[in-house]
Amino acid sequence: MTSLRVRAVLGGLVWVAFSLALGTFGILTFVNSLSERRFDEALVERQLQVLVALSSSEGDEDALESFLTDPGYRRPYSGRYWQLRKTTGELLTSRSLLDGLLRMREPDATDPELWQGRGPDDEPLRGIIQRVTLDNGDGWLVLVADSETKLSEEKAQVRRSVLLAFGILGVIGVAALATQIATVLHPLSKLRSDVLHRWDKGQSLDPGEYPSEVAPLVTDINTLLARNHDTVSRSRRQAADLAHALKTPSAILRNELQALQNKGTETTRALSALDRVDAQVSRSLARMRASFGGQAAFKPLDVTNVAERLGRALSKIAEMAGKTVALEVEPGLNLQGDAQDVEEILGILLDNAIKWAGQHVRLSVRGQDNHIVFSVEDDGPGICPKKRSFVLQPGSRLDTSEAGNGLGLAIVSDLCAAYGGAFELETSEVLGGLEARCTLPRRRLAA
Amino acid sequence: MRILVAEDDVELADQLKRALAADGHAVDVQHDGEEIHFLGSTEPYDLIILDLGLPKIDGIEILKRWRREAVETAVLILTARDGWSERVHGLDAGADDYMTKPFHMPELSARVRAMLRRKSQMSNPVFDRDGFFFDTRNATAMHEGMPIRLTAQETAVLSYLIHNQGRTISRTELSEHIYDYDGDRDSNTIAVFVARLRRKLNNDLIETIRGRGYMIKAAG
Repeated sequence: MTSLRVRAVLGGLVWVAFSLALGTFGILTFVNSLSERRFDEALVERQLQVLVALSSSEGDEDALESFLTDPGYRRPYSGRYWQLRKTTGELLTSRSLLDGLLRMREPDATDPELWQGRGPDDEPLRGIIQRVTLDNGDGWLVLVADSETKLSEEKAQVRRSVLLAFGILGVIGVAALATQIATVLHPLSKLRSDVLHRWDKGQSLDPGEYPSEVAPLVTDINTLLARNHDTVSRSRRQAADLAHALKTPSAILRNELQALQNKGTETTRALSALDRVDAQVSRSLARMRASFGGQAAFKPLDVTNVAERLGRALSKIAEMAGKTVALEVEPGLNLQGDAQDVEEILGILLDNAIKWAGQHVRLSVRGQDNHIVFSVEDDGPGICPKKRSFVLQPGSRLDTSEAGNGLGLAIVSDLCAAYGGAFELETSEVLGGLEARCTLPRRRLAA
Repeated sequence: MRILVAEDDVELADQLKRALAADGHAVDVQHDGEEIHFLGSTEPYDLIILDLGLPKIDGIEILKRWRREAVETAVLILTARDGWSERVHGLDAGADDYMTKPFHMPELSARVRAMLRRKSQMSNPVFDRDGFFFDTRNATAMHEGMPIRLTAQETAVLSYLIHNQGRTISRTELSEHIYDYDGDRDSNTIAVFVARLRRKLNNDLIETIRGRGYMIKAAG
C-alpha cells in the first residue's frame, strides 16, 4: 500500500500544481487583456489624431505631416503607420511605410472597425479603419495601424514575470508542503522509533506524548506488546510445567526398569524406548524454548551481570571436578534480549566445556561493533573440523558414553539463529581445545 | 551419612530413598515445602537432595532461607525444569550441584558420594591406612587384602567417622547421622556398634576420647 508520505507528497504536489496553473492562467489572461486594452486605447487616440490632422489639413499631405509629429510615422518600417485613401482614389501614407501599402477593405459602416493585416515588413499589424467625410465633402478611408510585435513582446515580458513569480511561489509552496508533511507525520516516525527502542527505556510507550489521533494506536500497541510478553511468559511456564510433568514419571520408570535389570530381568529394549521418549521430549521442549528466543525482551539485558553470575555458578561445578573457569567479561555490556536465553546459551556451552576440559575453561564476553561476542574455550580434546557441523545437528553425540541428549549445541545454534546471530566452533588459540563462539547483535532489527 | 530427600513425587522419593539406603545412608523423605524447610533447619543432615518444584514453598526459596539461616548442608538440586535459568538460580542461591530429570540412579549415587567427600575434604574415595581399606564408593572394607563383612549400621558408623577424620564425634552426633528421623536413636547402641567394629577391624583405628566420643585420627 502507498505510504502516507507518498500520498501526502503526491496530493500536495497535485494541489500546488493545480492552483499554480489556475493562478498563472488567470493572471496571464487578465494581464493580456489589459495589454490589449491599453494598445487599443493608444490606437484609438492615434486614430483620433489622424482624423483631426486630416480634417485640419483637408487632404494636404504636407500639412497633414506637420500635424502628425510622432517620430514613429517617419522612421521606415517602424511598425506605426497611417494610410488615407480618398474616394477619388488619391492615396496618402505615412513615411514609415516608404512605398509599401496596407490592404484596406471597405468597412460596412462609418463606425470605426478593427483592422488586422500585414505590414510592409510582413509583421502583424492591428489597426482601426473608418470611413469619414470631411466638412468640405471629401470622403476618406482612414487606416491607423500599429505593429502587434510590440504587444506580443510586452505580453511575453509580462508572461515571463508572472511565470517567475509563480515559480518562486511554487518552490515556496513545495517547501511548505514538505514541512507540513514532516510535521504531520512526525508522531508516526516517533512512534516507530519508540517501538523499536522501547527496550532502551525499559517501559511501555506513553500515549500522552502523542497527538490525540495517534494516542489510541499507542495504547493499542502497549496492549499488544504486553499481551505478547504475557503469552511468551505463559508459554515458557507451560513448557517448564510440561517438562516437570513428563520428566518425573520418566525418571521413576527409568529407575524401576534399572532395578529390574539389576535383578536379572531383560529391560534393555524398554530402557532404549524410554531413552527415545526422553530425547523426543527434551528436543520438543528445547525447540519450544528456542522459538520464543528474545520475544519476551522488554528491557535492555545487563549481559555483564548475567555472564558473571553464570560464570560464578558454573565455577562451583568446575571446582568439584577439579577444574577452573576463568572469567573475562567486559563491563557495561547490554543486549536486546532475554536473560533466560543468554543463560541457556552460556549454561550449555560452559557445561560442555567443563565436561570436556582437561583443567581450564575460559569464558570471555566482549563488545564488538554492534555485536556481543560470547566465547567459551577449553583445553580439552576439541572437535575436529569435519565433525563440527555434525554436532550442531539435534540429537548428534560424538561420545555416547557420557550422559546427555545431544541437544545442547543444537539448542545454542537455534537460539543464536532466533536472535539473528551466529554460532561457530573453532580451535581455541589460547587453550588449544574447542572454542565455541556465539555472536549476538546488541539490537535486533525490526521485523 | 544422613540425607534428606526433598521430592514431592512420592514414587520417585521412594526410589531415591531405596537407592541411597542401599548405599548405606540414613534417608529421610519429605514431600511438603514447609516441612522440608523445617527439617533442613533443625536436623543435622550431611546432604539434601532438593527438588525445585515443591508444593507450598519453591525449592529455590527454601534453599535461600536455609543459607540465610546459616544452614551449610550440601544441597544437590534435582530438577525437571530444563532451562539453565533455574539451575543458575539454584547454584546462585547456594546449591552445590544440580542434576536434571530424568537421571541415571548410579550417576546420582556417584554425585552424592562426591559431594559428601568434598564436604569432608577427602580427595580420595578410598580410605587406606596401615593395611586397612575402606572404599566409600561401594562401602566395602578390607584388611590385608581380606574382605570384612560389616552390617549396615557398622558401615554407617565407620563411614561417618572416616568422613570426619580428625574430629571427635560424640555418640549423640553419630546416632543423629546414622539413623533416619524415625529410627530408634539409642546412643547406647552406638557403643555396641563401635565395639563390634573394633573387633572386626582388629586394629586401633577408632580411638575413644573419654567422656567425649570417638575419633579416627587424620592422616599424617
